[in-house]
Amino acid sequence: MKKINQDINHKQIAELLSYSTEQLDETIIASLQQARACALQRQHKHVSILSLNTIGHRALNIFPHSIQQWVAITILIGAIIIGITGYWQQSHQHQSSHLDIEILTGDLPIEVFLDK
Amino acid sequence: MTERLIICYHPVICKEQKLATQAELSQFLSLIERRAYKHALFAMQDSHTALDVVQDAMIKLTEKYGDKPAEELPPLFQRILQNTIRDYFRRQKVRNSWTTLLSALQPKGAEEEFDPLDMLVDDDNQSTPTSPHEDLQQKQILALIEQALGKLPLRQREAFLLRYWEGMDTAETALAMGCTEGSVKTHCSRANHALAATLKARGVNLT
Amino acid sequence: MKIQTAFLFLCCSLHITPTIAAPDTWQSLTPTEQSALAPLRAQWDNLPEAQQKNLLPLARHYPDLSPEEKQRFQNRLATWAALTPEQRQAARNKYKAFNEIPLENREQIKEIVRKNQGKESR
Repeated sequence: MKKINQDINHKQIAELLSYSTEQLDETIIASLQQARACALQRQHKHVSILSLNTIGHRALNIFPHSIQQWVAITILIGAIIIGITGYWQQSHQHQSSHLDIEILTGDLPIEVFLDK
Repeated sequence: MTERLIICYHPVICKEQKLATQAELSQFLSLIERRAYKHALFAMQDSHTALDVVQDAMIKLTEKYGDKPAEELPPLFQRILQNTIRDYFRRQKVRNSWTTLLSALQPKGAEEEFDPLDMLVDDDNQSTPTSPHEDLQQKQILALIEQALGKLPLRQREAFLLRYWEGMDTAETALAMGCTEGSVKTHCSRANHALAATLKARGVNLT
Repeated sequence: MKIQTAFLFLCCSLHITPTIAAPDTWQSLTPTEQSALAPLRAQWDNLPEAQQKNLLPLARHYPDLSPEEKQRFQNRLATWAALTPEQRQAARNKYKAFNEIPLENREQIKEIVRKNQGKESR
């Protein structure tokens, strides 16, 4: 087994692969440049959001001080979370029952969708 | 208080760490984008999907880690790229299971009319070479190697390319792949055997 | 004031979340639900609650189906109910994936399946 292993010349394979990156189609190269430009734009936005965030930190000082305010905020956040999960569950359920109906009534037999 | 607020509007003062500048990030991406594309292409076997993978990985890097120092970018990007490839690969696999089903159900006689695998072939390496003899031979060997690489299981190919093409050591590869060094070694040795066997069968001698 | 508002909000959102109902017995189903789920009549009371909750919405859609679809629904329901939740989820994923492939190929698959069925029944 060892002998086969030595037959592979990793350096040459690496060189050939690197050579292949120079042989790419013009269209591919252009698409890659476009992808890069698009990604860089996102970085720009992100950095500016970051510095805005630091201002946001100071603004938080205006927020709750008393215990009552804290309780209110906690309940509010709890309510929002429960509401969102409930809504999500319901829409998930709705979505899957919709799919179930399609599977049960579609013109392909159900077995096609099962792993045998 | 007001003074501090004003200072914070100034982005340069706010940053405590030396971040990768946009120029550095741009240079980094331009250096690795073609290689990244090849990584994705080997796994996806489709140039459009491979481009999508690279774009996704680049965006993840700039959005989430655009504020990292420049020297941290290469290992980070490699990890993001490999994760993205795996995600896309899984999704494609479910979609392609239909294509496989189609070919399995296809009656034997009609095979010539429609081959679902046609849809998976990328038309990249099929341009007619107009280069001198040596170049031609190199291209043929390259095509065989790429074919052999394409046949490897995802993780084996990943380990092989990171170790021997990207020149990462076992520890770096393990980090990029999110697995142990032990499994990197296993993947690499299996890939080596499989590649050697395939290339030998095709009569390619790399010495 | 703030606490009252929050409490009101909490009540509202609790109202949105599906209530956790006790398992339904066959007797407690509406006639429409019973006719839709008829193939499961014998086993209904013993089905896990989650399973019942999954099947009831389907029964509510039943009256909207065409006669042909109703027939298929009835034929397949027992097989469907016998699957584990994971198997059903896998089937949904496969169905979704099927709908993502080009229409042309979907038609081809349907054609092949139809032919194969024809062979088997002959």
